[in-house]
Amino acid sequence: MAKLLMEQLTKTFDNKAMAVENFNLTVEDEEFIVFVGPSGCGKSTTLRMIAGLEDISSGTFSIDGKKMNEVEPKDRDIAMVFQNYALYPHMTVYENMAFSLKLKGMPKAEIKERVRNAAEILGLMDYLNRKPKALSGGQRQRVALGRAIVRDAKLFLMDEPLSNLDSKLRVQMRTEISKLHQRLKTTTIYVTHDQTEAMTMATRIVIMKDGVIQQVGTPKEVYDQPDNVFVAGFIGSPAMNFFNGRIEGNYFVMGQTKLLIPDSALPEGLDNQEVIIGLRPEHITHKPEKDQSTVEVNLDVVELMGSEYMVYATLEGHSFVGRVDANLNLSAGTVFPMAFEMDKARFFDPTTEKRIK
Amino acid sequence: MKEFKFKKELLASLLVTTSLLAACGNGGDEEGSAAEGDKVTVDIFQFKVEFKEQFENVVAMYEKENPDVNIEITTVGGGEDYGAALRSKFASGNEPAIFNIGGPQDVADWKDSLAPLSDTAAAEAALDGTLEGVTVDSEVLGLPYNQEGYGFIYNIRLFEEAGIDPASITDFASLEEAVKTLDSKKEELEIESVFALPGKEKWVTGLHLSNTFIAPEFDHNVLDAYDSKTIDFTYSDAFKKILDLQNEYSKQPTVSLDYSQQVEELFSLERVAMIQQGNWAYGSIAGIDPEFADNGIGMLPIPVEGYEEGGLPVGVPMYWAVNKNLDEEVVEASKEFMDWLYTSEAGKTAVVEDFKFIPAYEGYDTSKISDPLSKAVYDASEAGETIGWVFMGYPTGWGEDELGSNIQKYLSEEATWEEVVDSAKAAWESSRQ
Amino acid sequence: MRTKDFAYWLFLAPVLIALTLVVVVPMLLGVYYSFTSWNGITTGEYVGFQNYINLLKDERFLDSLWFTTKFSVVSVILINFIGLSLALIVTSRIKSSNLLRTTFFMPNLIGGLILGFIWQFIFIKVFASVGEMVGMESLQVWLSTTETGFWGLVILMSWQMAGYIMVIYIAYLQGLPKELLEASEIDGASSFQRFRYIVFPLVAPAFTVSMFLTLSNTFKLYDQNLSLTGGGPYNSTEMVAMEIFNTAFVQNTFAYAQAKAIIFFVIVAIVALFQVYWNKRREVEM
Repeated sequence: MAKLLMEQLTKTFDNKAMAVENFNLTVEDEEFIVFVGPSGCGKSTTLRMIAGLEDISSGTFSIDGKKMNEVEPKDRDIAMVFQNYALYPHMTVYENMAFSLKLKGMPKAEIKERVRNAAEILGLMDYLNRKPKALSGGQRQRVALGRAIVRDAKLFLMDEPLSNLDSKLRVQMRTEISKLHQRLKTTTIYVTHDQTEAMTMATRIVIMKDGVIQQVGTPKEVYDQPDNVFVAGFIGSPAMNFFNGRIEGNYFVMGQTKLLIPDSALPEGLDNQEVIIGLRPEHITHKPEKDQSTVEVNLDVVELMGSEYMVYATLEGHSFVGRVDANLNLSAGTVFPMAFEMDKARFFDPTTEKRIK
Repeated sequence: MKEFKFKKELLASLLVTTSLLAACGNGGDEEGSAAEGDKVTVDIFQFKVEFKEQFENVVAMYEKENPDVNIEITTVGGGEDYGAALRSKFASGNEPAIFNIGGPQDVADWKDSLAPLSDTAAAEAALDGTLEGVTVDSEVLGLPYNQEGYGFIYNIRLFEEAGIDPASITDFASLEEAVKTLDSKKEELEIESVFALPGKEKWVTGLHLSNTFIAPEFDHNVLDAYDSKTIDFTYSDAFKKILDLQNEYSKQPTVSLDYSQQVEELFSLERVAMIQQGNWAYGSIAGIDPEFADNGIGMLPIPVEGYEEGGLPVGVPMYWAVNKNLDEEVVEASKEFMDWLYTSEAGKTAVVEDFKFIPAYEGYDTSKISDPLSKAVYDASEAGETIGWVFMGYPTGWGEDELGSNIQKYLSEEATWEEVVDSAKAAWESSRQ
Repeated sequence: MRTKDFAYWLFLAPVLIALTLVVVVPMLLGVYYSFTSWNGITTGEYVGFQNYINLLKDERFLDSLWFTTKFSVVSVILINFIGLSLALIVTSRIKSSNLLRTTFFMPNLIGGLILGFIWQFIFIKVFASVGEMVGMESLQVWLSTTETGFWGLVILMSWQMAGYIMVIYIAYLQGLPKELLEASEIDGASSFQRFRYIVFPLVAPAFTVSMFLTLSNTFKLYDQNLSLTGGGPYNSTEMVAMEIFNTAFVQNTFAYAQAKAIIFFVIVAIVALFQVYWNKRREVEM
């Protein structure tokens, strides 16, 4: 069980720009932290610095107050799960899981017990004598997890562990990993590019872009209170809709369209300012009665998702997605009144892209 | 539709096959077409790399004089195995008109291909004794290239400085005396040792040195050696003494010492006083120090204690043979060329001056022999103070592979002299059974 | 179906014909000749198994076979050890690794004959000079004794082939998934343990290839043997290929040499097949 502290963590590769810049994060014991961001954002590099697989260019990383910068990976007491599992192909499942224990010189009986326990938890009892090649993707993933579990390490690191699985298995393993975490309570850092995984698993999410942290917060915080346009657009699926325009009095104006913003929702001092507003798809919908934030739009595409429609339309040059109850009969090409719930709108500065609170 | 496709496949694969076969066949055609018009083409397949260029020039001269003859020369020798190449040349069906044979064993091996040469002018002019190895039932089957001889090549300056008169070395005792004198003055003479014995070159020990002591046993007749079922090693003690003398006073280790170290590095740079080599070493020495090669060296005989102690082993290293299986006109043209080479004035001049051969034929202006080693060999030959070359009559491989190897063993102290002699005797007998 | 079969054979024909002409026919002819007294010029008479019986009693042949076996065993171990070590060095994160790779591979680009002469110079001249300087008698007799000849050949061969084998190992080492090594690092393996438990078992296919190459190369060695020691002293460093060559072209007993060649072929084939079979069993599929 461990508490991590990362201060001004920076990684520079030879003759390249900074891969990770001034990364500051405190991870409390038992937390499940997810690093999320598009590929190349530095999340894996950060994880590898924590693992000790990459040198730390500057800054400090410590576990439980002990500085780890120069400590060998094997002495950091961490376990790691790799994207492609990294199972040793010449060893059986049992040997794979027992490998680290064997290296520690643990007595055979204890190794056996630990491996069996882990195998039990992961449902691998029947496969202990198989080689990784004879396992399915999901089973291999479990072995990889098992290899981490038996270690009883202070810290779990997981580098996109589910991205090689098909979507159904991914959902299943996602819950299994979550359950595992609830059971073992080991501090975990999990890297993914999939915001759904981040939202569903994390106690806190760290959103990164171009080597810089954009926001750290609980799933709810980053969803509801995104710090900037990037976070707002990255978290949530379908993504948040953005509209460029200006505030005139209580109205958000773009081109011919005027939308009324309730007083409570409008930050002060925005009159006559250019802004970007962000509205999540669930906040562009259909309401029986029209008001000043209802706009007639031509529906480009209508997708029935079962309980609701995803409607794709364009307003003043901005394409957007809205959600409409499936009880209505909708089809593409028709003109339909959409209600913009402006009280849920988030306002962003068009130059800094930061949220205006 | 299907049939059409199949035909295309057939065509394609036939094309591939025929072009492959055609590619294999092409080479042969070109060579065959060399005989243009009514010219006679004489293919010469010879082994002496050293005089390749001079030989080609002389041949060009001959072709100019005889426009109806076209001579093609192929030279395989030096590092390559002439015997093997000749065998494959014959096996390929592309038989040469003129080729080289070494002695009785070759004569026996190739007898089906050897044209009689008794009626040639060259055979007539050949010196006494030079045709022994290639005469079967009084029919001459080969013509000698040249004569060569070997002995102890010595450094005149070093002998002078050590106060030794080379002329006084007439027997083993005086040789040993001289060697000891030289050895005692090593420091002043600035030499590493007296001798350089190239134990690695099994032809030096197993063929040349052994020949000196085996030839007397067979009366200097290569055919006697060739026909003998046994060997007695009558002069094996004398043999051992000379070998021991060379080994004891040589730069060590002798077993890995080779020709180029012996001749070029040690002798030519005057780091040793004496080496056992032949007149062919002149070229190597001249390559390092021409001045030294021309004026600083001489040759002494290898004394056979208890026999003749002043004879220089002189013999014919290789013979020309004419292939009788070719067209009559090719055989005739080949003979004519041989006669011209060794008996015409132009040919004779070339043999002595261009090839720098010691002629094996009469009627040469020997004053033109320029290098001191050849002169010594020729003089000995003139004076009849020679030991014959019988090593061409050794069983195949016996001299180098058997005796030469065993001498290496002896030099490495892995075998006694008695064992060397006994094993050599046994090997001789077993291959002549 | 019939036409398909026909076309199938038709397309195979060029290869089959070529293979038959240059491999099968000479091989069969060789077997045939080994039962005769062929001397390279005339086929001679049929002598049955006489050649084979003779070679079983031929000490020189048996000696050369034993020498070759010793040489092969030592060389194969040494070449693979050095080759793998070099590969590990140049695949580690050192700066000059590209230069080193080229340097290590270079000897392999030089012909065996020339290498033999170069090393002959080193062993005889350089060793002797050094020996004289430091007063070590043992350095002055290189190549003049059987032992030094043997080690001379081993050193030459290792020096020449290690770079080549290194390239094979490099290919396999670089093919190792990086994650596996990282995983083992995190699992707590020291560099030696990583090599012992992960790298070594996983480059097993490279062993198959390298062992096969080194084994067949060392067994069939001729040119280096010829130029370095020439079989000397007293034929004690003569390897089988050279012995066979000498039997054929020096002693002109072609049929006898052919019989030796057949036996040699059988031995090499058995050794090679057994080795590949044995190594294959230990390989792991990724």
